[in-house]
Amino acid sequence: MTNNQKLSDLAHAVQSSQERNSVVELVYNETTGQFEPSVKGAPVEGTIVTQMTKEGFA
Amino acid sequence: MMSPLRLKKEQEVLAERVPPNMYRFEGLNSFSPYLLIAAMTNSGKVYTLKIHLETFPENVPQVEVLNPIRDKKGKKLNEVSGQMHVLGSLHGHTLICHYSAASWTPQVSLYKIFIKCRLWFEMYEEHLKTGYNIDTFLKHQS
Repeated sequence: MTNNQKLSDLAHAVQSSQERNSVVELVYNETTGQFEPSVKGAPVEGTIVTQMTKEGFA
Repeated sequence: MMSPLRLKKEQEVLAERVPPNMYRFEGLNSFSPYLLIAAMTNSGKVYTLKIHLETFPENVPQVEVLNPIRDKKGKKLNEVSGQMHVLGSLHGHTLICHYSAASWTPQVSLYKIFIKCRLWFEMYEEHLKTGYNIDTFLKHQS
């Protein structure tokens, strides 16, 4: 998987995670330093940052 | 300015979650304290943030990107842009618009600011690749 494809998957995950009733969670893995999509309820390694994304940016 | 207790808590959180060689506090005993922290995106690019701490946590801290930041067309991102979540520039460096004053609370940690900026960089790289503005992916605070 090339870096370009990975980035697009992440962008889609970021968008999906912000939708109402979304089952996508955005996780920041402190060990790898990478953002990873996950499914709600699944065990994760890192911090779920979905709510932070939903809060929005200025 | 941060109280000693708040500083200690912030340092503890960062120590748990960020490699020690990726950040450092500077000028803590001066009128211009700041945090330098590196953010490496999933693609491996490294950006450096300077988070100004003069009035943190009472007010939203300014966050400078010390790397040159240009949009897909090559234009410097140094002007206010809602679409790119940019607040303008400071000393020629792009300022990321991470929190509005209306949404800010003193409980927001430096680590949370780092994560938001880290995400901004990911979507900035998506912008460079696709041309879509950052607010296509990162919505605005209500």
